[in-house]
Amino acid sequence: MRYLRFVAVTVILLLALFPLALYAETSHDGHGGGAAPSSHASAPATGQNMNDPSGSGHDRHGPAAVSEKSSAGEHQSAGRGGESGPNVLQPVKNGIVTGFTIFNGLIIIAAIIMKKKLGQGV
Amino acid sequence: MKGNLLDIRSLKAFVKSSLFPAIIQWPTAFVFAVVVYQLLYGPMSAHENFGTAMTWVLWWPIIPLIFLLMGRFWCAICPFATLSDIVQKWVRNKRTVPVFLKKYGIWIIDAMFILITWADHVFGIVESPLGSGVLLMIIITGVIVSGAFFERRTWCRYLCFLGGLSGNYSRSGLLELRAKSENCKKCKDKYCYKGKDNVAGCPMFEMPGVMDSSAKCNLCGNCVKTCPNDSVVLTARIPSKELWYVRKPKIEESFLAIIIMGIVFVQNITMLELWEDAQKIIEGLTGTSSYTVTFTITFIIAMAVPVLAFYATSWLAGVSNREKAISNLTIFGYALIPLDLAGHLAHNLFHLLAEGKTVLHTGIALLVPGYKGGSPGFFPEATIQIMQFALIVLGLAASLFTAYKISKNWFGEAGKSTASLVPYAVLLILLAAFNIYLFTLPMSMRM
Repeated sequence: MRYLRFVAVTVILLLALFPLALYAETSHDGHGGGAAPSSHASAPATGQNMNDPSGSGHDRHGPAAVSEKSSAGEHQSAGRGGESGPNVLQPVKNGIVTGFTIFNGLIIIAAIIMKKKLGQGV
Repeated sequence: MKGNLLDIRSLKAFVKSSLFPAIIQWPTAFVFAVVVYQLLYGPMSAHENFGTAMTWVLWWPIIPLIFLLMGRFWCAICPFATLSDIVQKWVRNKRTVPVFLKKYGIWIIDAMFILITWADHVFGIVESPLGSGVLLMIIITGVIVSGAFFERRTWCRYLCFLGGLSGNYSRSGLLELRAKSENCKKCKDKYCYKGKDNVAGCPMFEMPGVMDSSAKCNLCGNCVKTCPNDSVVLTARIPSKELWYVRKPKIEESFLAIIIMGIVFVQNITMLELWEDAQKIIEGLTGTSSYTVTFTITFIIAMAVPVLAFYATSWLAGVSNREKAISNLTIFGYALIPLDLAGHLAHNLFHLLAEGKTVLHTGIALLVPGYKGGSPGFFPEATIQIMQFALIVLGLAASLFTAYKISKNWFGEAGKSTASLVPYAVLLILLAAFNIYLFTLPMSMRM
């Protein structure tokens, strides 16, 4: 089962990519985004959640205002295109999307090569 | 056959046409593309992001309801499945599914579901549009691997993290697709499995003629299109009825049913005011303020409690019915599914009805710059609470009846059905009561 090697490598890469991608996304040191995961516990009522610059306190790790609906009031909308503050994460986002695109492209290329070498499975 | 919904001519014509399920599948794929784009490049605040609202305020809360009403039909139109089909058609590799996936797929699904739930809390995926976007990208990668290498919908059948959940809930569902086995026994063609002309065989590797469960069928209609004998039957049934007669119970399915109860507890507890106090206690005990540690401990306890309670109950039932505890757990685990579903729906009902308008507001904001939105809720919290209690009571009734039927079917002849049932009935009532207690406490919103 030679093709299992391809699959195994892909799965390992996938598993490695999962925590790495999430780490890259959640650890904002140097990216200026917000709180790192370890600081969730100490983010009680201020809405210091990553990617929540509005400070609305809607953070399940530290519910700021239970029964918020009664005091939630108007829902502030930023309109289109991420206008809620300077989007300093843009390079990280581009990196993630590019990384995934290349990775997925490589998977498809590997699958095409395998098909050419081994023929169609069923 | 009596009650066959496919006897309705217009419905049958629709299912047989090439429009089904494409007419729903492609708009869903389009919305999904918008959602992914929004999550990755839209507003950074979950409040304002259409992708977050669609994913976590609409789709996630409503998905158990879809499983209840329409079985796994979502899986037929799921954008990930569409992507898998596209990649597969393009690459045409179609290897057979590895044996280990067939053997351990459901355990991988269980593990993935637990891992994603854990990661959501630890990394704050729900509250982070980018985090949600990355999660979708990871799933997309898995789907591409599956579509590029393997035949049919290998991802959906053996790997999708929702597969176990959807399978269990669909077994409690209202719809049932089967085939007239007397016709199928004579049939040599098996087009339902192999496919015919431009219509593929069952994407979920099922044969309707021998199918006795709705756990895998996604109601895609391919078998209806390909069957030369019009043998496929679609009927409405009493919710949870399938669970009364599970002939070959599987530990992994029962285990998932028990684990889901713990996961719903975690979802509820971490949205309560008392969660902060609990965190402080755990932090005091462990000497660390790491949220990862605090949550992981809570997560393990919340999942272990129902497992241990169910195991102890199974041992107790075993005293009278002479079955091993693990065997009783496997047989009776299915009785928990209706209560699971009710608890899950009740939890999600809060998100749907207290925050549901966010979907509308963020959607309008996409089209109308400067739109300010409004209140996110449809109903006052007190109204939602009453609905939650009603759901739990219904779920408890269905679970109790399922446990009753299971005990009668398995231990009725030996005269041990009542003795087997009582410990499970007590446990189910306690779990329902704890669910109701949690819903009496004020919850915070998702976004």
